[in-house]
Formats: sequence, structure tokens, C-alpha cells
Amino acid sequence: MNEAIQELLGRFGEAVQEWTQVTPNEVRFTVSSVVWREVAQYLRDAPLWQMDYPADLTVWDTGNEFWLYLRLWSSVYNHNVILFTAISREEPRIASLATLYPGVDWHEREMYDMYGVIFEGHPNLKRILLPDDWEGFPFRKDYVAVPSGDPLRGPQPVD
Amino acid sequence: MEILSQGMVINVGPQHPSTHGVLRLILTLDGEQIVACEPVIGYLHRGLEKMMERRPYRHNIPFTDRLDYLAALSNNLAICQCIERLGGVEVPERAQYIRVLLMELQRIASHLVFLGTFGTDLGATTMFLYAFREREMVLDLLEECTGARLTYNWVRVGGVPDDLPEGFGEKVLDFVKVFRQRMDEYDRLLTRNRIFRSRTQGIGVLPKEMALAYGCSGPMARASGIAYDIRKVAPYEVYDRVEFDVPVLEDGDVWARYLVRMEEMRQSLRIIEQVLRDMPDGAVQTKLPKVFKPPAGIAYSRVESPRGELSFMMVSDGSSNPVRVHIRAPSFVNLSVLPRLLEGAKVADLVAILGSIDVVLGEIDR
Amino acid sequence: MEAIVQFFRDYPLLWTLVKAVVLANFTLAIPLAVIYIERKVAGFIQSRLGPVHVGPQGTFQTVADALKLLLKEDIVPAGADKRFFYIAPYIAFVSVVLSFMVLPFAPGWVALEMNVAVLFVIGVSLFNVVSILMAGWSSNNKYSLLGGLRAVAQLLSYEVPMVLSVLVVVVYTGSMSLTGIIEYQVQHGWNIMHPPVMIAAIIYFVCALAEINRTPFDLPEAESELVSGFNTEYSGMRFALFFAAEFANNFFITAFAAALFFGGWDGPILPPIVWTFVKVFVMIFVFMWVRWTPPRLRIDQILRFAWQFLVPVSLANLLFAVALGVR
Repeated sequence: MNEAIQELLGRFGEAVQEWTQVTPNEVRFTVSSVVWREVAQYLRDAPLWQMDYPADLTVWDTGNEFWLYLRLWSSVYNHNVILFTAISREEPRIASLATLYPGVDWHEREMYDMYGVIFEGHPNLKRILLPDDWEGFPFRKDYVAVPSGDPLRGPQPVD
Repeated sequence: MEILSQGMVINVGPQHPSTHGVLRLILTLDGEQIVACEPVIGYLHRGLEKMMERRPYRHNIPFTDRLDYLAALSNNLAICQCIERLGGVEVPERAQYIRVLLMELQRIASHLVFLGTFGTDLGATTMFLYAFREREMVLDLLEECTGARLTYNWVRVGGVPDDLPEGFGEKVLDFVKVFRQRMDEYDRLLTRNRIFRSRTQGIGVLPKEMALAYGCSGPMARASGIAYDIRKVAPYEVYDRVEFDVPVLEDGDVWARYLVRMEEMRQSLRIIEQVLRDMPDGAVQTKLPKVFKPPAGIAYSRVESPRGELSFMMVSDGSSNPVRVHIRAPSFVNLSVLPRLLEGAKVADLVAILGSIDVVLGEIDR
Repeated sequence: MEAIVQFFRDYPLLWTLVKAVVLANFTLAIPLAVIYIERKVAGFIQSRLGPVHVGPQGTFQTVADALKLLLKEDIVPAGADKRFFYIAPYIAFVSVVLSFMVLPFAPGWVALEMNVAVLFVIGVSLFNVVSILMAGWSSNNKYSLLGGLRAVAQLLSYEVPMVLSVLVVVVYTGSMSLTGIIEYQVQHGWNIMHPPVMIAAIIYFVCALAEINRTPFDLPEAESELVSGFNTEYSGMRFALFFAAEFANNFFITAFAAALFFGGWDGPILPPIVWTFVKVFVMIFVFMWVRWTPPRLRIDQILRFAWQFLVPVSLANLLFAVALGVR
């Protein structure tokens, strides 16, 4: 594991903003959003990492920015990696990993649906849980909704 | 010369006798062959993750019953483990044993629902009644312990709310004995039936690489050759102290998934017997302060629910409400591979394949 | 008594009318009994009781259900082809009544004595196929259409081995008249004793399951896949007629098998009419037993089984029967 971490740090250098080894087989990296896709691809293909199983991808809103969380697992080595990155709230765009890991396809759609994050390169970025004509992104911290009086539409966002 | 034919677009669900929950599938057919499939979900979306941000940590546990409502205790356990990791809370040993006992009973109940509905989908309606007859026994046991039959809400941060009732162990062992015989009955009814095999063998094959790349977990992954069972790979509670086998098959078809689940039920019986034998005495819950504010940070928990890897992720900023709760539901990820599984399959196989994925819409939509 | 018989001899048309009315009512009434038995047998196989409340041991349950269906609103889907939609259930029903016409319930108790009864029955059973296709097509519903097409494919495929196995009996007895076949068996022992006829009976049994759309061949009405197949859009009395036709056909096909293979009304001690019913209900019980146990086959498996297995086997069996010595 240590050797693998050193190799990754050597490869990406400055783009890895911080990292911690939480347990002997779990390490967390915070990377810059520019290298998001390269790091994920590296982790999948590098022989020391071989993270072939995309466990989870999600977004959360701190009020100032959006943070992404990607958890990967390797079926070869049984180690876990969590990747964090921050993107801006006004222009939430980031590279899509759907073509690398088909398993995050629906997760990215859900994050677009709930937060409005645009995943560039996603084959089918449209709403997944909410109706297709829903306006607004409900999980954002500044989302305000009032009852609309229509039982089928539910609460609608107030601009 | 090619015969030009237009694909027929057919809509399955959201109300349909065979969709397991409110799931809508838009199929494009060419005769009896499925050309494309688009699942439409979200009919059961309640915004649980957002609702959880407004409540103190422990008030969110009842919500989790409504996620995977066929295996509610696994959801309870997952969220409690996540909060425990965030707050650094220890769980007493007896509570860990009780949790494992309930998880395995819950696994049997959930797999029995799979068995019943799977048989009905394929036409063996009798299987449904037999499976639910046994499930009644499990539900009676769980009701005696927790007070509820479906939404148990019986795991707390730091343990379980109360100790097991008097004589519970003997009743569970009686059930185990009866159930072992009944499982042989199921084998005679379904597993050795040639028609059942011809409907399930070679159907809906999920290759190992596809299963890994899509993040499939649980019986779907284990039937495709991936030895991924969180109880073995990253043991929690007392799973590292009990002996049990994890069935892993190579074929990846519907038949393999059915066999994996049948065998898992048998292994659950083994775990239950060992747990009852080894359970120590002691406290069942670590007391927490009234206002519980875990330190700022991010934690996640992984649990092997009957459907696969159920994982909760929480972000805390030191206040009494979480900043974010994210639920990684196994059915959500397992369902995303359905369009690939259905490419080239026949309409009559759709029901078998969808039944073998064993989805619960509650956790897909949240 | 003599006066009544003389009266009908003077007016044969009236006698025919009486026979027709009796048969039509019988075809309507027998499903009530068969459905009740089905529900009870299904219940016991599934470790539950079946109907128990309405009437003693639940015997009036089907009557209550029939009354309920009579009182339901008549819904015709928009865009349905009305002519075919209305007429399909009646054609199904009439085809079963027609088949009952030539069935001997007891010596001398046959509505219409025909010396080509077997041929007549096979011909009339094809009306059933037509009615299913009409129902599936005219419902303006993709699921019904799928169900109707599947049903037609299945029914036509299983007609062939069925006819071939019935031919074996005809070869043995040298007669196509049902009364003649039964009388032959009274003299020479039941047909099933001969090996080729035994094989023919087994093939007939399997084809009968397919002809009346029973599991494992019930894909045309597979509940969990196509909602209800070709009768999805039918409600109220129309649905009741389809159902009645199916269960009356159940009775008829087993009665036909009894006449062909097991001697019809032949049997010691008990009156002949009782023997007919006993044989029929034993076979119906076996049908139900088969229905509630295995899962259903897929349509391509059903068709493959018919054409790649049953047809060659029944052809070979026919040759075998002929070779063993024709009368």
C-alpha cells in the first residue's frame, strides 16, 4: 500500500492537495478537480492499485462549494480509496467517470438531478429520480420550496 | 433481403404484476426479442437524504426502515454503524451478537420473499405460499423481539434498545430445525425441477468484468464469480468470530443467483446457531449524551444486506444535525446493469432476469 | 312416460331444441363445479383451505362469483374492434357446446350420434383458437395481442401430436364414432392396455394441457408476464364466458380422453353415468396437481417441445400401432 501511495504522489504531485491513511487498507486523497478523471483512470489501471470496483459517488454542499466523494475498492488487493475534490457552486462542472466505471453512471445522473452538477462527457445526463420537467436542484442548501397547491407537483422552488 | 420491421415499444409498469415495486421499464421489442430497455425510476422518491439533514443523527434511524423495507434491520444497522464511526462510539459485545442474530434472521426473511416472488414470476405459484409460511415464523420471532413485523427500528447508536426476550434462543433454535427440513422441500419443488432449470439456466448471464465495472454486489456479484461478501472482506460486528461459507458461483446466470441465495439461507442458519451458543452476557447499549454532536469529519459504513453492499456516508460539521447523509443502495447499482442484461433476451425472460436481481424500490428511490 | 317419448318422436325438432338447451346449460353449470374443485385442490396443495365461507364448505363460492360477474359494468376499450370484441367469447363458448354434442355420457345418452365424431371434435376445437385470436387482436392492447399470438402458435402446434395420438385409437378400434369406440372397449378391454395406445395417451395428456392453456403451458394467460394475456380487456360476463369456456373445455377434453382411452362409461357395479364423471374428475385432479407444481415454460421452449419432440414421437407411435396389426 505504501509503495502504491508513493507512486501516486510521485505521478500527480501538486494535484494531490492532501492525503491520509485511515487504516492499513484505506487511504483518502483530496485532489484538484482538474485531474479528477486522470486520477480515477490511474487508480483503475495502475498495477499496484487495480481499483476495479466503483463503490459510490456522491456530492455534498458545504454552503461555499460542492465537494465530490468517490469511493473505490479493489477486488485484487482488497484496499479502499476515497477521492475528494471541490468544485464551485456557481459553475459546477467536472469530468464524467461514466465511461471509465459504468457503475457511476446512475450516481452521476442522480447528482445532476439533485445538485445540478454537470458531468462533462456523460452519455445520458438527464434527471433520474425526479420528473423530467422538475425545476431546481433540491439538495442544494439554498433550495427553498413552498407548497404549490397541486397534489401532483408537490412543493415548487421559489426563485 | 432484409425484412424491415419497426420495433414495438412496450411499457412495463409501474403497475404490473411482476415488477417488484414501482419500476417502469420502457422496452423496445422486435417480435419476442428485446432490443433496448430503459428503466424509469423515481416513483418512490421521498427525498430521505435531504430530510435527514434537518434532524439530529439519531432521529434519522426510523427513516431507514423505509429504504429496503424487506430487510429493514440491515438499514438500521448501516446507519447506526456510520454514526458510531463518526462519533467514535463503542458497542458492547452482547449487543454485537444480538445484532448479528437479527441480521441473519432478516436475511432469511428477505431471501424467502425473493424465493416466493421468483417462483410466482415463473409460474410456480405454490412456492410463494410455502416461502411465506416460513417467513411468518421469522416475522413472529422478530415481532416478539422488536415489536414490529416490517419496520423494526431496533438498532440504536451504541447497541440495541433492549435485551432479547425470555426463551427467545430456544424458539429460534426450533425455527432453525424446522427450516432446515423445509429447505429440502424447496429443493424438491424448484431446484430439481427440469422446467425451472430450463427457464433459468443460461439466462441473463452477467460476466464477471461487467459485474465489477458496474459495481454489482451481493448475490448478483457472487453468482458471477466475484468473492465479495463484506462479512468476510471487511468483517463488522462479530462476523470474524463465526464460521460460515460464502457461496460463489461462476456462471452468472439466473440459476446461479438463485442457488447463491438458497445456499446463503443455509449458511445463515449456521451463523444463528453459533451466535446463540456463544453469546456473552452484558450490557446491550452504550449510553450516549442527550445531545449528540460527533466531531467534524466524514465517515462511511458498509453492511452486507441481503441485496448487496449497503453503505451510508455521513458528513459532520460538529453540530447536532448531519451536513449530508448519502445512502448507497445495492439495488440502485444492481438495477443499472439491467439494460445490458436484457440486450438480446426474450420478453419471457424479462421477468426471470428482473426477479433474479431482487430489487426493492424503496432503496433505489429513497 | 311413454306419452312424452311419443310426443318427442312426433316433433324431432323440439327434441333437438331440448337437447341443445340442456347441453348449453350443462356447459355453463359444469365450470361452476370444476372451478370450485380447482380452488379447493389448489388451496390444499398450497397448505391453505380455499373457499370456506359461502355455503357449506364454500360450495356456493363460484355461484357467488358468477353472480358478481353478471352484475359488473360492461367495459369495452376505446379503439377496440367492436365486432370481434363482442363475438369472441361467444365463439369460444359455442365451440365447447358443439364438442359436448357428440360425447356419450352413458349408453344411448349422446345428443348427436355421428359416425365421424372424432373428426368433428377436432374440427370444432379449432374455433377456440379463432376466438383467442379475435380477442387478442380486437382488444387494442399490445399485451393482449402478444398473448393472442402466442396462444395461437401454441394451440396449433399441439393440435398435430394430439390428432396423431387420437389416430392411434382410431386405427385400433376401426371407428371414428365415439359410441363405437366405447363399445369396442366394452368388448375388448380398455384401449389403454395396448402399448402404443399407452404412449398415445401420454402424448394426448401433454397436448391436452397445452390445448386448455394450463401450466406449464399457460403462457398465453401468464399472469405475471402479460397481466392476463388475451383476456386482459374483458370484464364482467364476457370474461365469465371465456372462463366458463375454458373450464368446460377442461371437462370435455378429459371426458374425450376417458372415452378414447379408458372406456368412457364402462365400469362394474356403478351406473355408467357415474363412471364417466369419476374418470373425468380423477383426470381433472391430475391436471390440477400438475398445474400448481412446476413453473411455466417459455413460448419457444413450448413450440420446440411440440415440433421437435412430440410430433416425431407421435408419428413413430402411429407407425408402431399400424405395424402391430390393424383390424
